[in-house]
Amino acid sequence: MFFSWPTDWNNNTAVIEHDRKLTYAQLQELVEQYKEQLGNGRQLVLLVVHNNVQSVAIYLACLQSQHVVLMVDASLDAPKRAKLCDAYQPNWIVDEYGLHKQHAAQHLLDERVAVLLSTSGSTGSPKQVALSVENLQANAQGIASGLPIAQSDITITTLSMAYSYGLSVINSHLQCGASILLNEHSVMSREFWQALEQHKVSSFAGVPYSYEMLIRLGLCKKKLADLRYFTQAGGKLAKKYVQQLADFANAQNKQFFVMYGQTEATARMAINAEPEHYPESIGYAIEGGAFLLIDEQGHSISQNHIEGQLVYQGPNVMLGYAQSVVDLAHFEPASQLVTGDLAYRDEQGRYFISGRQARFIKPFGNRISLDDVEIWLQQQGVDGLATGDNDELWVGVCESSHLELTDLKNKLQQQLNLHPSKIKIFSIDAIPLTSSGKTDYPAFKQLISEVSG
Amino acid sequence: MSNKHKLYQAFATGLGIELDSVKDELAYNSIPQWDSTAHMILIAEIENQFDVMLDTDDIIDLSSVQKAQSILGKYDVSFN
Repeated sequence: MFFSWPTDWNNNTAVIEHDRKLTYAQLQELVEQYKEQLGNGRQLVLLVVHNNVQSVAIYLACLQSQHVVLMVDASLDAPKRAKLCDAYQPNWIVDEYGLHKQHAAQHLLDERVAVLLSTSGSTGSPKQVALSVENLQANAQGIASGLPIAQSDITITTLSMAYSYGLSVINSHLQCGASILLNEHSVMSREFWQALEQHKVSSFAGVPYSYEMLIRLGLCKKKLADLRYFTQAGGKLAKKYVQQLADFANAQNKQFFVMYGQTEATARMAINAEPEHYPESIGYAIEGGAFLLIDEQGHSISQNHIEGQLVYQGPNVMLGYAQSVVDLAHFEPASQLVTGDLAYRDEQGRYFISGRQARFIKPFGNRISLDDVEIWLQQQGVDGLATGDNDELWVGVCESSHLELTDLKNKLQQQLNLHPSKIKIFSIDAIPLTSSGKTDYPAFKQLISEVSG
Repeated sequence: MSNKHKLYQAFATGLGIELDSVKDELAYNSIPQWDSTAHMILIAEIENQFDVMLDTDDIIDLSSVQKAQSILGKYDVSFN
């Protein structure tokens, strides 16, 4: 298992935080201390996640002791965190000040559930993806066999561990006995670039926005002698950037992997190892997984180049969703994951994402559910609708709501933790409806394009 | 519009905050709005306003409104 390792790794460096280095043996000692503190019986632990030694050790202690750990990003503000606590009633809250026992009541917990991750970290929605140890292990192995992770490698964290892609970097490196430099600095900070060189970092991961920043900062002109490979996931990176990164990798004898995943699949489903030839592909399913395409009637599509809904099957498909602690009592996992993405495959079996059916957008790599935005509007007493393109939110508000649109924008910005340049609010006469009485989003988009010219 | 006013306006737009809350002492990470995401939008805004292209070190060093003025000085933008 990726969270308990063979003794021959004892002297390998496991984690580095600033100048503090812990070998696998030392990390295990720390994990033992936390296990002791957390006690017996299955506990529900809310972990306020930093990319530091304590968070890694608590996470591992929970896995080793079969506790359930709810990962909450440290940037989530206090009111949103309090709401999560209300919904999940954790036995423990672990934050930067230590371990705080809340109560000793034993929750009813499905024996398989191990980790809870949010799909939209910044909004504080109580909806969590429940993952089992088998899910996590299958994905760690699938990734480790698809990427050239070596025991001698040292990777740097660029994403929060509370985010599935960030967590998968930790898991897949522990699986291989490699080293993890725990970093909390942004890719555009001096500390990040110094750490890359000082610690001879051999790999890193990033979402589209990280790479846009890195490219803007001149990554492709750097000579990073120790860097062996880098990966991108968390949304579609524009083709021109994929090509620039592939060229950079080629010119400097490095490898570049584009990946595709979802929290519902414990992070990753596919790897494209040849982005220089197929910059828009997601590649092939990871080891242990498989894709299929289904048409509108739910039938499998066997021809190439025909678009259908992308469905994934594999041991990393989640147990299910939870909205509160009650839902943790029992899960009935689905055998496959309907991704909500539209895709087609080519003659060699490579997959290409061609559109999205699911109602969410991904500004700066954060998933925002458009249905959640509409529910929120309703709660504010606003008659309106939400749609968007990949990284912008478009909200239509009926004039009858008599609202100050700037006020609404401010509130929405706070609620979603989203930069105002990515929120556009339009005043409309009424919500456009289709003949069957459903919200007509294409009509609204048409309206917007006329207004914006 | 004075350069100082242009710069303040760029901060207000780039960080999505009120013009009134922009002052020379305003620093990176001192308010929740000025995070790494907003920083890149801010940089683009400043580059547009003053028609300059900042290099890597300057983007990384631009850690306060005050600092922005001294950095822009290197690109012949004067705040006196």
